[in-house]
Amino acid sequence: MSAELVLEDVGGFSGTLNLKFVKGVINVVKAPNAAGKSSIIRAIAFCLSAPYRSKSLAELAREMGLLRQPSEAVEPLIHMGASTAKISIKLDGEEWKLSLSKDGKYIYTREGDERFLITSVLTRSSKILDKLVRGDVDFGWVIEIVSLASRYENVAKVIEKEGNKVRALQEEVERRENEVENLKKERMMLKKTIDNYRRKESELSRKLSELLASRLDISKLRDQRDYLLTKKREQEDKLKDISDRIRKLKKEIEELNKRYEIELTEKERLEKENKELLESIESIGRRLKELNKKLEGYEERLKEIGEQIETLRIEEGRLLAKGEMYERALRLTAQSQRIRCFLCEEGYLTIEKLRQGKLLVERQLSEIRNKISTLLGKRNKIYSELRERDELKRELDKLRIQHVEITQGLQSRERALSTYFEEVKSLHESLTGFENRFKEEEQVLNKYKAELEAVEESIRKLGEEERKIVEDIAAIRGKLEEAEKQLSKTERILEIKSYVEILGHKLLLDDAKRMLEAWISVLDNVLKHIQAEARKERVMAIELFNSQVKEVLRDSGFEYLDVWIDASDYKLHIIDRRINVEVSPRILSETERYMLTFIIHTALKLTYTPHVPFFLLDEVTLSFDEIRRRAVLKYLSKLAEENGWFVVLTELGHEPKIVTNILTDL
Amino acid sequence: MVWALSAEESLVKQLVEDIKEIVKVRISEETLEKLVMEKLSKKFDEFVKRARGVKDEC
Repeated sequence: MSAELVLEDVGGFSGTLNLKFVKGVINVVKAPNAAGKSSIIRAIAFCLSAPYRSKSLAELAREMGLLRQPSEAVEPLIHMGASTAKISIKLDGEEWKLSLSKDGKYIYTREGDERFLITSVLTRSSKILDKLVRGDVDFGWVIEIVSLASRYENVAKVIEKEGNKVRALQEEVERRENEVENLKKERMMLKKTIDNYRRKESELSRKLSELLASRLDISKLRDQRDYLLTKKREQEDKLKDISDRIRKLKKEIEELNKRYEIELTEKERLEKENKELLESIESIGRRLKELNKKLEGYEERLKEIGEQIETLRIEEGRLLAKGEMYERALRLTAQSQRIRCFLCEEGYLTIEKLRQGKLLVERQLSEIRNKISTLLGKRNKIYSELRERDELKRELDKLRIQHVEITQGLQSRERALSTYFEEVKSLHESLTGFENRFKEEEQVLNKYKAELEAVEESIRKLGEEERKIVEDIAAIRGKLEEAEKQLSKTERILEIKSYVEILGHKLLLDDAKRMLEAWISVLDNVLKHIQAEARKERVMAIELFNSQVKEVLRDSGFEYLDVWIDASDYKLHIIDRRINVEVSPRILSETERYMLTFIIHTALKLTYTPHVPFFLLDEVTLSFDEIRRRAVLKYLSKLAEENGWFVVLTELGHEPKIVTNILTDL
Repeated sequence: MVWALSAEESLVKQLVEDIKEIVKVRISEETLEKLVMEKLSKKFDEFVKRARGVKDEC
């Protein structure tokens, strides 16, 4: 019995590659590095495991290089330059065919078992090996993949989500109940408000009827108002006439005042001038009086002075003659020392006597001349005062003429001013008359106005009252309408809100609430069952694995090890029974870790995918020493034989005798 | 709501069985979730209908 593998443009192979595997034995694919051994392993793994229902296995397929990672540009299984890769496995008359295109889409003729990836493919980059290298003993993920637990958990999540939706619906119903409660309260309030408005409207309508009945009063008041308005207009016209007259009079008075002012100014100027003139006249008069007093009897005095001067002139002449005689006598005496007296002509005069006589004459002459001079001075003063008096008289005459003229002017101004005054007085009297009349008429007008105002106030009050009532009625009706609309709206909303639609079914809130409670209870119970199923699945998977791994350990010669997964925390435990100590995978040697990985994979294979007859090991035995390698191959051979599997092994070194099918033609 | 309480137990049983059947089928996680959701919706719909029917009869 054999299986035929046909690869077309897969991995490093361009074109077609045919390989035949023998059932129940170990098939070794032997070739140098980079010849495409791993591509064969990956191609078989892909064909027998796709499609991937779980996300974690799809991810594992990408990690194992069966499909490209999102960051990669090309599919790793498609040969460079080719557009598709084709894989075909023929076995027992059945055929698995898979075609992978560049966009990562693949077509398959037969569904594989996705768990095959974790159970039946052991490579040097095995995820289990990687975990052991890192000392990570959490094997919950393996259990999740191989069992239905994760599927049950996914279902549980869906149920929880559904439960949340129902709870949200419950909250909505509760919220709706509150809304309905509030709406009912609002409806009650609105009904009360409407009743209230209706009462008010009725009351206002009654008031309006009463007011309309008293319309007659308003009509009378209006007639009275019309009469008063006419009277008021007449009075206003009258007042306007008076006012015009007053304005005209005021203008006239103003003009007269201006003229009066001018005349008054002129009069004041003349008065000032006259005053100055009178002062001058008075001053001149006083001076004249003084002069007249001084000059009293001035003719007699002039005559007397003239006579005195004449007398003195004569005396002077005589003294001059006497002096000449003494002069001559002295000249003569000088010659004779003595001379006959020329006055008495009887005696003799001595020089001494002559000289004394001459001096006496000269003294007398001087005195006379002084007297003449004094008299001349007096006479000149009198003449000067006379001249002054004449001049003053002329000046006085001139001033008197001016005074007369000014006095006349003043009289003329006074007359004019008197006339203006009379006129202004008369105008003022007229003005006062008009103003008094104006006041009287104004009082009449004010009386009319007051009466009119009172009448209008009465009309206004009545009208206002009516308008206010009408407005109030309109407002109340508006509010009433609004409230009725609101009530209708509230009723409608209440009707709508009293029901809730669930899955297209209209339900009363109360029914909906009870039904949702029941449904939540159903969902909670289902969830409990599903969670229990998930737990059961997990425990079952662990128990199966633990039992299987025990067998594998025994059959493969590792009975000194005890390996199991703890169902409570999913941790892998490794006990070395020789020393009865739990060991960490990190402290194991590389070969031991490989061995342990091999054992775990084998146990998984035997437990979960024994029905898929391929067990793939890619260069796994390279790390083993010859003895262990032989032991492993022996065990694999036994597995192949007992289970009818195709154990496919890639190798570099010499094949041991145990291998029965060697494929080298790559 | 006696009708709902009495129906609950059998409904839970039925739903669990149905879900178990769905879980066993080899389908993707998305399809599984979708199918379960549909199943729940359908059952809920039936539940509501039945409840209404009983209510109307009452």
